[in-house]
Amino acid sequence: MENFRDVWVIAETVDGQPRRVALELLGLARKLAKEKAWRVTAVVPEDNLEAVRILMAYGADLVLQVPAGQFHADAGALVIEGLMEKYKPAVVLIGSTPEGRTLAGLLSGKLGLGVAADVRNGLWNGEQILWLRPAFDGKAMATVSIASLPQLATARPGALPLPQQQAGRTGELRTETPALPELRTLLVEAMRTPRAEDTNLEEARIIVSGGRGVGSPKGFEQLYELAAVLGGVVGASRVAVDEGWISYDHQVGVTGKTVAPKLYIACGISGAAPHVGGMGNSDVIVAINSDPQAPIFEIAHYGIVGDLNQVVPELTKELKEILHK
Amino acid sequence: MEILVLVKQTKEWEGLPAMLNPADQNALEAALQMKDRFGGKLTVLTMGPAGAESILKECLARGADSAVLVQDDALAGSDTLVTARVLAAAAKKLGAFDLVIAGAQSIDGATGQVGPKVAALLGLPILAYARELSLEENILKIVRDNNPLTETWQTRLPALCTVVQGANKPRSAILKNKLAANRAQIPVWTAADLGLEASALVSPSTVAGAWKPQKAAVGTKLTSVKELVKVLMEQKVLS
Repeated sequence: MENFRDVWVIAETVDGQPRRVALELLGLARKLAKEKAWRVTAVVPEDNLEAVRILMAYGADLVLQVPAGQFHADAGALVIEGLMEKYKPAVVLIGSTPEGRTLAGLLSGKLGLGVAADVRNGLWNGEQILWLRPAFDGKAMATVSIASLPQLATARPGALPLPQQQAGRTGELRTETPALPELRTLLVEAMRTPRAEDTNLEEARIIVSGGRGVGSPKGFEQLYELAAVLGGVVGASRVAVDEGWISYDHQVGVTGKTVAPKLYIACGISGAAPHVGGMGNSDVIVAINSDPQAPIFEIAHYGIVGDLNQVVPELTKELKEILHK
Repeated sequence: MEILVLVKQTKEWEGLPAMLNPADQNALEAALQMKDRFGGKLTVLTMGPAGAESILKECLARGADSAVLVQDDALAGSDTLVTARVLAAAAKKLGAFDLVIAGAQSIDGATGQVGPKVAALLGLPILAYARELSLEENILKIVRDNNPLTETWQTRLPALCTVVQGANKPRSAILKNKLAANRAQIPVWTAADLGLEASALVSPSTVAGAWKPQKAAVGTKLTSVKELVKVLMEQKVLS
């Protein structure tokens, strides 16, 4: 890899703290760096020490701080490009969020670098990294290799495991203050979205999802209850949204959101390909459906053939007891 | 104003036919609303196989003024970087645009890469993942979701904007426009027409292989909720 070394994580933040996906990326970064005896560097647009502490606890050997507000889109691309030129990292990992995907795309277009997008893992194969990502049909995994350096890769929130943190772990901190030309783009305002957590399916660890079998908006209430007990979010198939039982923000599938929770409970969902395309990568899939022939049972790890109006409340009751809620 | 809309025909996939990518439909609609308000010309551009002409005709039928198809066997299997280079080269060949607009991501792929790559190649500022757009005196403003925040961004034209699926209600084509669109002769450009170096058309990404991952065995039928709870605890997926 010539004179490129070290693995970088571009740590996007919210409310002054690193996004969870940045911490997940640090886990992959550590794994890749370890094999080459390289360092892990986190680049963060914050000047608060708590963010730095967290990044170090999750694996950053070096944290590069840049001024807040210099991370978005065009500014971010110029800043990161400058740092990449200065430090020559071998691998740059970015969270696949709206901001992160844009940043990766800008760097790619400007510098002529390939991007391994939405990876689930990266493995050394000699001097090359093989990036694993879902094949477009969602049914298989593909290995992708990129011929350009540095390697750019993105990963969706929840696609990588969260590493263990080491509370007292420290590293080196450096502040970079890149000079930027005057830019035309400006953040006018940022407001907290009310009920944002309700529909953040892409980052949810647990999703309870309803389809045609739910039957009505009232039918979704039991799913909301189950989700609340599990600390999860409610999703839906296109049928349920088209029928007006729940809003489009909850729709899972190729024409809705792509999700990768550790637990996906599909209630009254038949399992048509466009829906599966949006959730097939969930770690554990549970299907509850009264039709034993429903295609969902072909991809579910665990299935219960039954009436969701009986199974879901019973499951909620059992879990309440066990989880002491 | 001169508007360019980048569109894509998505692949046919198990019950879902090949179609004009949903987010691109929303991008086209946003562009048509701008054209309705400010006047000007709206061009649609796609890189695709010969069959992609149908989505361009759909765009013309909805109100686009002209369309270009970049089609070349040498471009089959291109990754997003090569696709972006081709689209950017075609955009430059078409002239200067005030606004380039595209869907934020495609339903087949969903990596959100082409928009920003084209922006970088055209040297345009980018406002991505817009669910609302407005234009006033050359200032383009968007609202986008960046969980848990809702952000309002603005930039000065010329600029590139990507629009999320569901941002608006795409208009249908009216019959009169459909008939005209069907008769339209859409120019087809090849890679050679774009003057791109051969090296620019080589994708840096190679797919090395595909396999079915080892997962927890599917298809375990359970007969009681108690069994399900037990299994979920064993799998360590509860909280």
